[in-house]
Amino acid sequence: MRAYLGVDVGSVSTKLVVIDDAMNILSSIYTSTAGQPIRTVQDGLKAVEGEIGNKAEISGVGVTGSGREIASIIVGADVVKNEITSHAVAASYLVPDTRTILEIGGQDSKIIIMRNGIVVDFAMNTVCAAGTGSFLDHQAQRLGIPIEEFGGLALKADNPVRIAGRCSVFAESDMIHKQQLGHSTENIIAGLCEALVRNYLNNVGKGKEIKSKIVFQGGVAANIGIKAAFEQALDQEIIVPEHYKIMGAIGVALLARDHFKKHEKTRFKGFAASGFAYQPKSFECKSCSNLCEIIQIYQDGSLAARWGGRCGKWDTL
Amino acid sequence: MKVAFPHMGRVCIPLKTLFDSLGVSVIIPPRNNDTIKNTGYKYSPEYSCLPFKMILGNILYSLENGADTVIMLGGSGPCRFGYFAYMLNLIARDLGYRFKFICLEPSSLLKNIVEFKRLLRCGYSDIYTALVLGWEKLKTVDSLEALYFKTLPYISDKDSSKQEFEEVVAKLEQSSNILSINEIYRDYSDHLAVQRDIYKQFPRIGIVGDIYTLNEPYSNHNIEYLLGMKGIETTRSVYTSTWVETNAFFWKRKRFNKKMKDLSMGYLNDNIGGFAMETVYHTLDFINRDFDGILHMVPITCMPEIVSRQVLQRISVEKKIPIMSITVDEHNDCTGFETRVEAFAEMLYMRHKKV
Repeated sequence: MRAYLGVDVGSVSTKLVVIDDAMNILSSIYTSTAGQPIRTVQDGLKAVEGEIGNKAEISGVGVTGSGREIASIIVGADVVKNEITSHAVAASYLVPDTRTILEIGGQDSKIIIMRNGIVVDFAMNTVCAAGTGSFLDHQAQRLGIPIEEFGGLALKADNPVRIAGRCSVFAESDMIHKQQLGHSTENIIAGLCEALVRNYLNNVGKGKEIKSKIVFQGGVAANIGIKAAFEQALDQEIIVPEHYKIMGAIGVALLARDHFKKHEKTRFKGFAASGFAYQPKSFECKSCSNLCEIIQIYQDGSLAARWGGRCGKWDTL
Repeated sequence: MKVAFPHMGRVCIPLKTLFDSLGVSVIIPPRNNDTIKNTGYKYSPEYSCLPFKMILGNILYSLENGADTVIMLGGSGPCRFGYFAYMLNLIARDLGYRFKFICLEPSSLLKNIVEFKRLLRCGYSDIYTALVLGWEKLKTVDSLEALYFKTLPYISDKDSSKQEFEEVVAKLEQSSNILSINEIYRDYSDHLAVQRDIYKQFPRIGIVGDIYTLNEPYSNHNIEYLLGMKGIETTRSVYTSTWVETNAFFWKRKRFNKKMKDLSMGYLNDNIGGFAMETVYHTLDFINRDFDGILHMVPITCMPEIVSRQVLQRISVEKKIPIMSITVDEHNDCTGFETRVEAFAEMLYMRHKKV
């Protein structure tokens, strides 16, 4: 049986997905990147191998996410795609007639507008990561609440407080202030969810025509408090697809499938890649005044990839 | 007298020619790099924009290396309430440097020329010859860049085309008369014309924003090259030469300002400083010329561009054209930047195919 691997190396979590030709999910892994993309991807590969074993043959690999360059070297990728395209592909496949995609991940948030199955407009947070997953994580930790229960608490609020959502620093001091005044944790969390949604719609979603079907995906979609706040603010139904966490990986696996149908070959290095020793090394090129930081990735001692140069000098291995 | 001027793209080529032919020695800092940026950041007010910080880094480098006269092309216009250039001057003075500071404003160009004549003790005819040669080089270097980025998406061997282009620019740098300058341009455009497949039309993006960010590849992460490699044709709204043309040449200035005001009317009725009105005007102009998308570069804390970003959002909704604003600041890492640009390019391709 043919299968296709999609890898999404995000800022906070790494997702691996294996699908077959009929779009059945054979394996899916969701782990924390923990600042170690190389090891995380290798561990993920090992776990995937354990799950699918010899049942399927990987015929195409796609990578996405902010760590896509490095991941493409480790697994040997056929398709290297940005997150926006990957998320759009997955959503339009799994939820037909999607017209708006709200996606909030660990470090970024985006809105994708689709009409008739193609992306016609999108926006991404510009300079600030307020309201993304890592901020919510941090707040949950500060309040001593497991992140899984965070959203549920928001639904129990009877009187959400007003929190400044523009900047995570302001939001946090606002929250602390409200908590010192004696507001209940539930009300503060609900206020935070509303603030983040308000900020998202003003900042990322500004000027965009948000029409249903609206799909909400990315790690933060697990937070039912945020979902409820979106439904309230937009007054429309929000769909959280079953695989909301791994949509990027699914999208890029679908693209890898298309790639295989066209080219009938793959660059996949095999599951053995989880055992290779990868070592990144960097240096400053002093050939000109640009002083580029060149990064070289060694696979078992020999040079496998190199990037970071502004001129063509280091492009060829 | 040792003259220095900050980098802005390739503007150092014509300026060096200009001063060389007047017999003035110049000090040119290395192309913008992290060291220069760090110096600029160290001594700038935190809230100033990336262009300000980069220019300050350039000036401090030149002063450290023996320059005694600093020339700024523009910088006392309404941007930063007219204090852009004066702040640079004051910061360098506070650091203990003593030098002559000349701010070339298009409106006071004649006064500047008289001042130069006195400083250099040369004749008007010398200045005239130097200006004509410098102007020709400035126009040519901008036309070469414009042509290259218009053709890049169609060139099959993109990697070596960059090398080729740099060689042409180096040749231009060496040339010292108008005939050879024109010949370089003609040869290169003939060379590119062969590689351009006239039956293909890739999506076109108009890049709008302030003059510094658009023309300095270090601060815009080489956006035109990046898009060219992804098969997108690009055009800048403002080149240094078009800015000089529409501001210094008073007979063209009036006509351009009227044209700009007429088209922007209803979106931005008054000039609010910086390049806000140019941004709005060129966005509308690109849309009228059937461009597929607009990319708006905003240096963080730039007030005029923040205002025009809001206007552009309305234009995007009304004209149904994708417009993406990208904020640039000191961050070196390009992944987030590339993700947005790549996604924008892909979206334009999808839209383009559908039509």
